[in-house]
Amino acid sequence: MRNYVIIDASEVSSVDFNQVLETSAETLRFSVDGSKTFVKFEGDTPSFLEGKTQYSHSEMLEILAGEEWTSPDGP
Amino acid sequence: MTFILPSFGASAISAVPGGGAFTNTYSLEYDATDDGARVNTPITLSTSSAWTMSVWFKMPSTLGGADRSLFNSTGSDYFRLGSFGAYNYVEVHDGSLRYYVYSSNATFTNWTHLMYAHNGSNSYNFYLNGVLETTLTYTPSNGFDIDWLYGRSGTFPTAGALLDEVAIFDNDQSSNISAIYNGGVAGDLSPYSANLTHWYRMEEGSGSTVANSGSTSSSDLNLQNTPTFSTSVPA
Repeated sequence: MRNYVIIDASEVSSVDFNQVLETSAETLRFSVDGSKTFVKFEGDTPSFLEGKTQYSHSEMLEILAGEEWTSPDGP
Repeated sequence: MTFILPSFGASAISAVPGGGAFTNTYSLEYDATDDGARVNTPITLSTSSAWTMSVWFKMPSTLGGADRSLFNSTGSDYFRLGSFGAYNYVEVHDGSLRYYVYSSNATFTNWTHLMYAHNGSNSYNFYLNGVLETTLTYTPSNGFDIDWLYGRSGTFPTAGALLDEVAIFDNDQSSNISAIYNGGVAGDLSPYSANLTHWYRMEEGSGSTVANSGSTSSSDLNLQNTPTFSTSVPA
């Protein structure tokens, strides 16, 4: 099961991409205003994400459907 | 803008071209959050030579008014899957040109085959599930560029989908639509290998790349953010 954690854009430099399913900083999806992004992982929580709110896949889909994350004009 | 509401005529299931050696076990599944698949070497389909795109796709849920794009470019070329009222549609977005093909034949929550064939001049045949929905006539200012097969980085919406047997040919395959659609069963495209430049079979089952089984070198798919492989296939 995948878990999702929203982080501030300023925290991207602290992400260990060996411990999450995102490929690199260049492939992260950011919120429309660029202030937030998220990472996903399976299994144990990576140490740098401990203490942060985790979302399920269905919860994350609801969040991403909002205007904060989805530009209405994008393809 | 094109509006068409064709009836859906199911084709008889035909034999799989190429004999019994062809197997199809996996499709590529996107999780609707940030998954993507980028072509290692971007593809440009010319305005002045013939080509064909062919793709099988399936959405895990109804569109609900959301848009989902196939064959994205870094610019303004893409196919957008959407819904309006009771009808699903495919928007062909080729540069500044937009055409909407509404069809009762477009139930995207089932495995769906889309084929778009350019005759090398200004004519484009648009097929859904083996049926010629419309022939679009236009002259884009630039070729159709493909950088992503589905999903892309950034703030644009991505959406869950299964993709399988994605192919690009360097000729017009309209005359072979019945064999390629194959009664709704993704079949062996190797009989068309002389013109098959890209063929992403998704048979890896795991990993971060999908090999191009077509003739163009250095054109594998680089999977971004770990899409998975599903055993649901158009069969």
